[in-house]
Parts: sequence; C-alpha cells; structure tokens
Amino acid sequence: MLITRIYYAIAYFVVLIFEIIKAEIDVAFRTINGDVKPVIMEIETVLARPISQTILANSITLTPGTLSIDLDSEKRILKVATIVKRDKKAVIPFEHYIKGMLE
Amino acid sequence: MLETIIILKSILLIISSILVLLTAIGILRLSDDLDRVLYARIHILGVVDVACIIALLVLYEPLLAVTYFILAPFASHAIANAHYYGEEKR
Repeated sequence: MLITRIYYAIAYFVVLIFEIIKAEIDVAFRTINGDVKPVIMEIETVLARPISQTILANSITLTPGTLSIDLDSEKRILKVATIVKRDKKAVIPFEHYIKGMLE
Repeated sequence: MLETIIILKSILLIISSILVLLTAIGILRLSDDLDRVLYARIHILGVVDVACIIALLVLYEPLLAVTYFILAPFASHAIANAHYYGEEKR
C-alpha cells in the first residue's frame, strides 16, 4: 500500500530528526566531560534489500555518536562504532520504519 | 513579525557556532593514547555536520543543506572503513 509507505516515510524522517537532536546534545555534553570510550559492535538487522540496509547505515552515521564501519549485505550484519557502550536496539531505533517504508 | 524571525535566525546561528566551538575544543582535548581515538574524533566531528546543516537552513540554502545531509555520512564512513581494514588490522 502506497499510503502506508508514505506514512512510514514521514514517521521515519520525524524519528530520524528527533534522534539526531537527542544524540547531538548528548555528544556535545560528552565533549565537555571527556567521557568518551569508543567501542565497536556487530548489529544484526532484519532488513533484506540492499537499498534499505544502505539507508539504515546512512542514518546510523548521520546520528552523532554512532558510526557504521562495514555492511555485510548477505549475512545482514552491520559493524557499528559507538561513542560509549550502548544497547544494540538503542542504536537502530529507525529500523522498524525503514522496514515499513521499503520492504 | 520580521524582527521575531531575525531574532530566531540569530539564535539558531549562535547555537550552531557554539556547537562548532565545542567540537574544536573537544577534538583538541582528546589525547592520542586513548583507545580507538580516530572513531572518537569522527563522532565528535558529527556534531559539526548537524551545526552546518542548521546554519545552511537558516541562511536560505535548503538545497545545499539537503545535499550535505545526504553526502556527509559517506566521508565519515569512508575514513572509518579505511582505518578499520588498514591501520587497525595491521
């Protein structure tokens, strides 16, 4: 359904902007405190199409504090560097919306 | 009405300039002995990207802002990927 996809696209954009602002404030405070300990973790994704995986990786990098290093399209694994140790689901809150938008 | 818009634009520009200053201080403060310091630097530089997008939107350059919004992650990703497979694996 086209209308559902448009709804998910708008919701994805709103969530992305909200997450960017939240992470921006968080990272700005961390630069003042000096509370920085980068870790690398592997995150499994449910997205199957390469375009949606690319959009997910791009959104992760766009959010300050998280950075995608590598993407294995067939095994559906993303290598992500985060500024401190974080829960895996908290790194990709927009995965559900991308799934509704493109899959 | 016009004055309110000018004041709002000025506030947004001041916020983005403060963010740029904070980033500069943060990058200079990080010591080189920290584990995986390059990723920390890229994370902190991500703050500048958002500040730059805010500034471009305020200065009536929406197309440049959208281009920056889409293209900025590619550079960070390229640097991180090259470091991961080049320097860190060595």
